[in-house]
Amino acid sequence: MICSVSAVVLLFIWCLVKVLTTPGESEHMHGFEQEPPDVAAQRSRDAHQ
Amino acid sequence: MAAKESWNSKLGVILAVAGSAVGIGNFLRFPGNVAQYGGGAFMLAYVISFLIIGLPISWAEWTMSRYGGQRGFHSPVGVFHAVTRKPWGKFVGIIGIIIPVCIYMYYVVVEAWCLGYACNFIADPSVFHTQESVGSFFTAFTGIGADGTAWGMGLDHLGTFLIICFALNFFLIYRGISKGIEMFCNYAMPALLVLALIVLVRVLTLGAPDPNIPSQNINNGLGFMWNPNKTVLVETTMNDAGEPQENRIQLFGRQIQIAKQHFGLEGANETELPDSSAWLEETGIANPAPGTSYRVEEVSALSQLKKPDLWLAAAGQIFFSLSVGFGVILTYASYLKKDDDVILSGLTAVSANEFAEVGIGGLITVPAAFAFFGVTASVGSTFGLGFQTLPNVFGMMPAGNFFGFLFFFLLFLAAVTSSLSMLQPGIAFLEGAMDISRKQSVAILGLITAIGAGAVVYFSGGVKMLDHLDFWGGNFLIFIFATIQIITFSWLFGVKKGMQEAHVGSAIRIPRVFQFLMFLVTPLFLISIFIMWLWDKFAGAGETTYYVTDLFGKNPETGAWAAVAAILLFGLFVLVVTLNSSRYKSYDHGPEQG
Repeated sequence: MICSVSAVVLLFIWCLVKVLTTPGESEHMHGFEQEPPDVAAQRSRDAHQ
Repeated sequence: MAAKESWNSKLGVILAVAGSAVGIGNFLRFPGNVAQYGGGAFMLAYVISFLIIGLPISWAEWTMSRYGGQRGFHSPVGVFHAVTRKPWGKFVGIIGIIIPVCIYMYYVVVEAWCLGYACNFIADPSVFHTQESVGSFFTAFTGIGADGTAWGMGLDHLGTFLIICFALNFFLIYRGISKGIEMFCNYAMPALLVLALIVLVRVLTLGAPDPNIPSQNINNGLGFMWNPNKTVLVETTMNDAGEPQENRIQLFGRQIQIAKQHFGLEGANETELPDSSAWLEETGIANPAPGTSYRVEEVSALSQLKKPDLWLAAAGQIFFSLSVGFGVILTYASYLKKDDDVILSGLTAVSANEFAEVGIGGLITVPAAFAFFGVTASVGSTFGLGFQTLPNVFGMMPAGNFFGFLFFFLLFLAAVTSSLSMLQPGIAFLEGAMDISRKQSVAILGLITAIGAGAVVYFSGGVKMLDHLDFWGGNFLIFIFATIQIITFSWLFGVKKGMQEAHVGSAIRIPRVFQFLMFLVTPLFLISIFIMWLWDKFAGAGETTYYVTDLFGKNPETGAWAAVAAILLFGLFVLVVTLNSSRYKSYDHGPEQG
């Protein structure tokens, strides 16, 4: 239990440190937060209607 | 100002990645799986599955998706079409549409459960104060008692909450997540983690809540969850047909010593333990009833690890939790630019998920359930643990109503963001294959999932349709699709070419050992588990899983067949659309997009 929990905590901390200390990384890293491009297209279509 | 903005953007992206990684599976599905499949042995299989299959396939999926996206394809069908450059590629990608849409059909129902529980913790928390009342509430709210009993309006029925969830999901997926909502969710998810940490500290300091039952304590609860070896008391009785039936009860601490002393087993304590006679009387060992006998068994981790069910469940949990083999990463990573970092993005998402799952979820639900209610309450269905035991635990804690509301409301928010990600593959597919607008695509998918979710709500008896969608879609199909993905990446696309593609724009390098793992170990490991499972269920001496007997046994379950029908019918729809689409007729993918 201690090994498993310690390992996942250390891995998460390592990833955080890597993101925070690598220059420009925030512009190149993504989760699922990006808005798909078709959403903007649909909004534009709705605005013109 | 520039430095502060840089720190804000770095923190923002970490929050976004963590938010997309954490979901209700970490706190509900994972502990339920661990308890159902035997605790520590499941964790061994889980850790091995994470290293050998979860992480490698996650990287493969991020890489293939960005590759397909650069060529203008933003759904699993299109990505497989681009990556394989074979006529059959797009048909394989169909599985990546079926999985998230069919899972959404029950996921939105669970999302409504979370919202309903959150509201009831505020409006009528008394329902969570005793095991009996929470059990009655769960039965009425979920309709688990009989088909057709879940639907209804009011605080103690599902209807209102399901309508709210469905409407909210489709409003957000159509409009896109506005900046305001995105920012709220980005902070709500980490807030869920912070709250979970607070609950974790509270749980780990519980000790033995009932001084009259000292064996029901947090230490033994953690042992139940994490210890791979078990000592069980086997009670053998005869049923009406004269056939022996066994009931296995796991033993802890002093119970093990008392049992070993009584049966004269190796390792028994020489000194007689106080109150041993009371426990022997209570269990029936001292004076067995006619036709009843007892024995003690040591169950090693190895014997548990020989069960294919356990490996399938461990692999399935890894895939479900990491969103690997889901079709979701194949969709979202396709929007990345050519030099976006897929390796660190994938690793950070995976590590955030495992932190929430193993580091927090694995230490809360089952140990707390054990400490309050013992083994029987800790073992059971995923939903029983999350929606009966855990609310009761909150109900019995000081300030538990507040924590219960906050916990389930934040789970609801986590479920909303996961739901939205499950809908996007289907929407992107319909837009691309049928050349229709997002509005039209959302309308079609809304109708399909409304029918599916309605069926899940109707066939609520035993949560059969939900349970079978979760197994056949959320375990079985994901397993197959993930296997196909790693074979496609490593053997068809080529593992060397795949690694080169993955490293474009990356801040870190994948350790070289993973190249060997992805090429040989991962595919063979997955194929072996699958063959073992098929052999065990259909040709071997293993006990057939109820997921099969519910379909093909003497008394087939309608809800089970409804789940299979939903998967097959939707699959047929996607197949027909793909066959008639001109989008996938050519392999001329055009210039790469920047």
